[in-house]
Amino acid sequence: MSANHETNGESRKDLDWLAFQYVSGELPADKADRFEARLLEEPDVAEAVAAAVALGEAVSLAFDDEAVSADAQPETISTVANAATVNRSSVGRTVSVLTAASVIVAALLISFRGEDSPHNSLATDSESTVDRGLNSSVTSPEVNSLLLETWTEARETIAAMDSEAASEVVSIAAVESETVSADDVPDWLFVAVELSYDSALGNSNGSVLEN
Amino acid sequence: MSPADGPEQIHPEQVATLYREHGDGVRRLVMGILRDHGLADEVLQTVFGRLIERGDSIRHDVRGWLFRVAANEAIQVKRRQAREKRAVDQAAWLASSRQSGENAAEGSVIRDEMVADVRRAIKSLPEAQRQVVRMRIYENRKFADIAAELDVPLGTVLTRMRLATEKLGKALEKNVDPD
Repeated sequence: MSANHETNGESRKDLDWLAFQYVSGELPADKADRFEARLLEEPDVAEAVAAAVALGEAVSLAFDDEAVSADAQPETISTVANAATVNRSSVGRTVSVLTAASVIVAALLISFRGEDSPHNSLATDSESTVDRGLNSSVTSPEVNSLLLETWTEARETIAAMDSEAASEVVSIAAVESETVSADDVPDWLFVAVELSYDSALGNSNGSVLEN
Repeated sequence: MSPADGPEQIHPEQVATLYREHGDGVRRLVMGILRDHGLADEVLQTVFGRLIERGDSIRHDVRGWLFRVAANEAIQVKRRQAREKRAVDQAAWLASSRQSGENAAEGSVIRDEMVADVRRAIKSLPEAQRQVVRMRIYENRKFADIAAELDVPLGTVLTRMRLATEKLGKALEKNVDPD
């Protein structure tokens, strides 16, 4: 650790090791006393002590830095895990909100049909649920508009909920800036609305009322 | 300067320069002896105070003179302390030297390079040696405790530590005490 040294068969390495043990408080008292006596007489011994302390400082700092890195890593993993949790919970919220939205739409549809449909008697409606889901008479402009409005509101609700979390699935700004068209409403929502509609009427597959 | 005139006071700028050049080395030497930052600072002040008193009579090997005076002063303080307080707390000096190291070279490029070199050297150590280094220096465990925990003979721990300090010392050499 310092200059060349060779005294009484003691190598530089021997001296450095002795110095390290001394500064670590690992030398027995008698050896420590003898070492201190040498400290007063031999410049190399004093240099070796200074070098041993420098080594302790540097190693501690190196391990400190390593510890900081190690501490940072779990935090990163934790952040990713949190984001994943948020995303999972967002999916759950999405399903919940959209289910609620579709039920609302279904309820509105019932009243809408009750007022405006030429077929006041639901018993005459023998179309299958899927057929009706794709039927243009069900997805009339009014219904489309209603679905569109509900879909937009649902997305805004989800975005508002997500904005509280660190990881956003849908940002409010993005939703607000988007012009939502009927094409943006997923097909499955139309089907879901129809299923809700049938369920609300107790008309699964239309067979109940046919009886 | 003639002997009759007595020593001429050394110029403050010269003292500052000498402190910059040798202060760290002297402080480490004193720390190695006393293992107490407060006492080490006092001794450091005393040593450089003596340098001012001696003035320019110290013309050769200023570093050697500083180290000699520092070692002498530190050992005296240590013995006085031992008399006053039998149980000198030797624990945690290595851990606290971390702070000392940060203070001594904080923000310096040298510090960063030194730590980087030592970190690389630590990583290059065999795992068994690295473990002992961590436990002894970073966790401030005694060799005997380390041997007990690792369930290996004390001699094995000492050998691992010695081999590791030799390697780490080489990494440190190019950064410490270039003079």
